[in-house]
Amino acid sequence: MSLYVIAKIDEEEYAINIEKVQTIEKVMPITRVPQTESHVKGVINLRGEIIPVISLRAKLGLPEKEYDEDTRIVVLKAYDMLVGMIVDNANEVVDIAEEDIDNLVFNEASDEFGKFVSKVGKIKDKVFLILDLKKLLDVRV
Amino acid sequence: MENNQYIDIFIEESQEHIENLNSNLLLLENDPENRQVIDEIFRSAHTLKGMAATMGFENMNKLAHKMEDVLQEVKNGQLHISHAIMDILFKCVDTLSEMLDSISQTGEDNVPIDELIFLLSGVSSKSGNKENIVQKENNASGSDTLLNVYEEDIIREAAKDNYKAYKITVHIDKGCVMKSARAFIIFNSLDEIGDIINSSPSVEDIEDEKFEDSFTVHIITKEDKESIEKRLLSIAEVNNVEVELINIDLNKEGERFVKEVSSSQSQSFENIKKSQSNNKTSKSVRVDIDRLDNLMNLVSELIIIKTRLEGLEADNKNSETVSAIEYLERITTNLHDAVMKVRMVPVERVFNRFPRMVRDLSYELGKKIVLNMYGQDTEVDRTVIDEIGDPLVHLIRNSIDHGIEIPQERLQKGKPEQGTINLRAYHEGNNVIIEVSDDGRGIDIEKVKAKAVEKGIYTAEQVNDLSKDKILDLLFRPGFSTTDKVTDISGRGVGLDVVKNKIESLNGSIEILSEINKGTKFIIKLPLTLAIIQALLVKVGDEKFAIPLNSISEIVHKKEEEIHNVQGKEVVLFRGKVIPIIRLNEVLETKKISNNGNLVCVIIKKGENLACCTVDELIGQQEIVIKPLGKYLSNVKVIAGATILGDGQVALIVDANNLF
Repeated sequence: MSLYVIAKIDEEEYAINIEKVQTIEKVMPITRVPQTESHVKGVINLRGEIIPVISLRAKLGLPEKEYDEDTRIVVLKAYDMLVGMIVDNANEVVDIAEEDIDNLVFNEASDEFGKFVSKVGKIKDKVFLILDLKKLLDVRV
Repeated sequence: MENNQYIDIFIEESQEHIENLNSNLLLLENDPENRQVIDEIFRSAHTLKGMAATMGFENMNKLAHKMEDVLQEVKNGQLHISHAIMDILFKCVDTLSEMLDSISQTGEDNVPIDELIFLLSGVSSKSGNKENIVQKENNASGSDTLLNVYEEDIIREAAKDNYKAYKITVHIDKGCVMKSARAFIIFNSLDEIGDIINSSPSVEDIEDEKFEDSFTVHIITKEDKESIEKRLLSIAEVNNVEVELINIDLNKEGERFVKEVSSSQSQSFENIKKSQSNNKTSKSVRVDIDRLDNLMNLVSELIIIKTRLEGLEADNKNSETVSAIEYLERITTNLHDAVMKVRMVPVERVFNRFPRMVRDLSYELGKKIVLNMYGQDTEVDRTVIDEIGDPLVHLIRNSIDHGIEIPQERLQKGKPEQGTINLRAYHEGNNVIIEVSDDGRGIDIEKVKAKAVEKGIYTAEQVNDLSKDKILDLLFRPGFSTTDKVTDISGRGVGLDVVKNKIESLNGSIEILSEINKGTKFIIKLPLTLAIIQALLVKVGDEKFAIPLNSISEIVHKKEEEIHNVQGKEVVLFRGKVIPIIRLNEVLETKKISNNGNLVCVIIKKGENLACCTVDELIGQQEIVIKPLGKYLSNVKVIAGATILGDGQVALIVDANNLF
């Protein structure tokens, strides 16, 4: 059994292993960083630490949406870095059993979100896309 | 008491001793008759031996012990310093240092030493005179010590079985860091030969290091005085042992005073000089680097808050508040200075490996070179120190290999046979300057020119119009080397461009001065620290950015019509020079704000080169704390980092070195 934070983009639910999540924050002022790709929104001051922030929407190739009360920055802690990820909503944690997690084979060329999802988890009849942080954060190892 | 709690101290302390050995051996090589240096070397080897034995590192112990034997003979004048002996001793030091590396990584000192032991035995004259201990008579001390009745009874009882009671006062070296560990060893050693009745201070206090540098124990044993002395003195860092026989009047039971007869004989094992030269260590405290970094972070936070308060101050007319804030400001500035000083380390840390390097390389190349070092006590922030070692090694290797000529060539040129390399460090304003200069053959400008043409960087005509500085600057280009032969020592494909890159990444600069047949000088300029800098805050578009003050030359106003277009590039005339215009709003991708034709220009410098950066508004100068953008954004070239402003906003720091 492992716990997963559920992050929403529109109605799609993405799961992130809770061990990779440092904290979840409300939207705060973001300082834009020049000469970066469009999914990089800038940096934030998280209690004295400078953390880059990316948009999951932009990563998935979806149009941006105005930030609102529900918008969250999920601060990921993976591969020796802290990176904030903006999602529409993140207020749920689920418990997915190991045997309910399956590998997925996507056609990377055609499916935009397939680039960042390599597993799915099931709870009863609900399906969650488990984010592959290595791909999401462009870690080349 | 567990050994591993001492291992860090052991490693650090041993490193110091190995460094000492290295530098003193170099001194000895030039001055083989210097008694003081021999003593110093002997002492380092002796201490290393003792420490290694304490920690149970047998190989290290054995090697240091053998070294000590050889040094003892040198000390006694039975053996004379020769090149061969020096070489062996240097090898020993290298091996010791290898062992230490291995200990710090694996916890074992598994480095083969048989060959060295054999070599050391070879040079040793084996005179069999192993009387290491210099005996010295001391005044008899007639002090009476209080033993309680119970303890007296024990002594009396023991005396009936032919046990003798002794009062032993052990003096540990003042510089000893692991005092309690040392005491533990001493106690163990005494336990083997008899029973300890009491100790003052108490065993608990000794374990907690609650004692100066000596302690007294009472012991009953069958051993005689001499063997006790010998046993204790064989333990490292034991300076002095006083052993007194206690005579208890067997008839006068119950009397509380015990008279101590027997003159105390004290043996001063090591030079008196030691206590003087070691004062420095006993006054310092070792602090873990992480703790320092943490302290630095806290001070950084304090500076952020201070800046924020200063911002609020402007709206506050209450004079009480104003003066309190001013006071706070003064204190934070002082605190910052104090913390910075703690983080400062002398450049000696980097410099002290060079004498050895110069020695080895000059032997290898058959050159005669003397290295002079000045300003080793110049202090630089630790973050800078860690980074400048490699560039300096490179420059010195260059000087040895390409700069200094072989002795015959020097004589032919009418220069002294021995070449000189000077390494100099000093402070200049908020920077530290390090110069590496040699009196070698210098850089052949014509050769550099020819190479530039050959490489197609310039045409033959262009090259003749270039200033000397510009031509020397070519040497910093990647893949630009003027040597015809590639040697083992330098010229392995990595060149001065690597040195330059490294130094620029530290926000520093490097320049070359050279005159043919007179020599070459490299001048490196580095900031004192990398963590907190003075910066100019500016507005570009509606965003705030910080430009490090040390890369700003000045600020001027220009009109739009003063900008000219040359070959598709915007330039402006500044003090008779044509310099490029960098429109920061374009580079930083901000909103364009109409300026009515008036431009605020920040003139930034990179070495000799200037450029004119246009900004929209000047905010002011401020002390800022540099924070990295993080690994994820490490490829953003124009931004050197970020800082948190007083109001919690993040401002990006413009990397002037990468703007043009």
